[in-house]
Amino acid sequence: MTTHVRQQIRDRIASNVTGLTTTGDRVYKSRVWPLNADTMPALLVYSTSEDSATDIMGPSLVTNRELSVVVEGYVRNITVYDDKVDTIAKEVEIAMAADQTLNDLAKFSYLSGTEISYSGEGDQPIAVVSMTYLVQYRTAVDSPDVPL
Amino acid sequence: MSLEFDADFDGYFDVLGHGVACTYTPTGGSAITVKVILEQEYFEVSGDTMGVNSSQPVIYGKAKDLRNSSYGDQFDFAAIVDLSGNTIKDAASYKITSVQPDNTGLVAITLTEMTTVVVLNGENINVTDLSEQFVEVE
Repeated sequence: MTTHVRQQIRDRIASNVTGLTTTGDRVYKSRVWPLNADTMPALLVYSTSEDSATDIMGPSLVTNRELSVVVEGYVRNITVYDDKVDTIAKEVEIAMAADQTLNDLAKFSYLSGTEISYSGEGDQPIAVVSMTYLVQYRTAVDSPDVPL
Repeated sequence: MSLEFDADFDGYFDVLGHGVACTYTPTGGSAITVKVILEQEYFEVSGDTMGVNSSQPVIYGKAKDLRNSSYGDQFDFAAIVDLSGNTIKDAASYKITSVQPDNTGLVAITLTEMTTVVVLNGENINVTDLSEQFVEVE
């Protein structure tokens, strides 16, 4: 049995945003430990929630799912942290738009919202851009590891 | 009513105790040497989902020395070494982000650490958008 499609989608998104100009290979899936100065600028990828409904018509039960995947960009920079997070957002949006079906794991994916926050509490300013992508995909009820 | 002589304040910042000598350079002014206490304890900055390992550099000094300090002024510290000569922290430069006098002779100053040579422009200490206050020096 392969992995849950949700995991496959998260892996695919992490792969798609790896190697971008600003964040490079500093891409972390479902990270739970704090970031260090030497691990930024960085991208964090989380699958945070999922709405689902089951089609009760037809020969087999199918679950329609809408997954929220959050891609967060972190910047620690003295001078241009606001510009940096916008650059990160640009690079992520271009990468995500180039693979809207996520290698046919999903029917469609799109950016549903972006939030930006700043903090001056530490030794250098921290800026965070949080991009929420909605990913629509389908599986058979008894086969959540196989995209339909 | 004052409770201390100037010599008492000097004792608080003696380099044989907790004090350290550093170079203070007001924006557009000349550098002078002052004695302060530098604290830079660990601090985790809250991110959206994840925190960021950091510190909160703060210096405490005599208001007599630093009463005219303001946003953007610079402090330069030598490397911190142990008694065996091992470097604990490299030499570092900081810019003032906030000046907090206690009105009894001492002042606390919050700092941001510089990794490149920059000038912080602007007069307002309590700025909310720091991004417009930084100008990179070529």
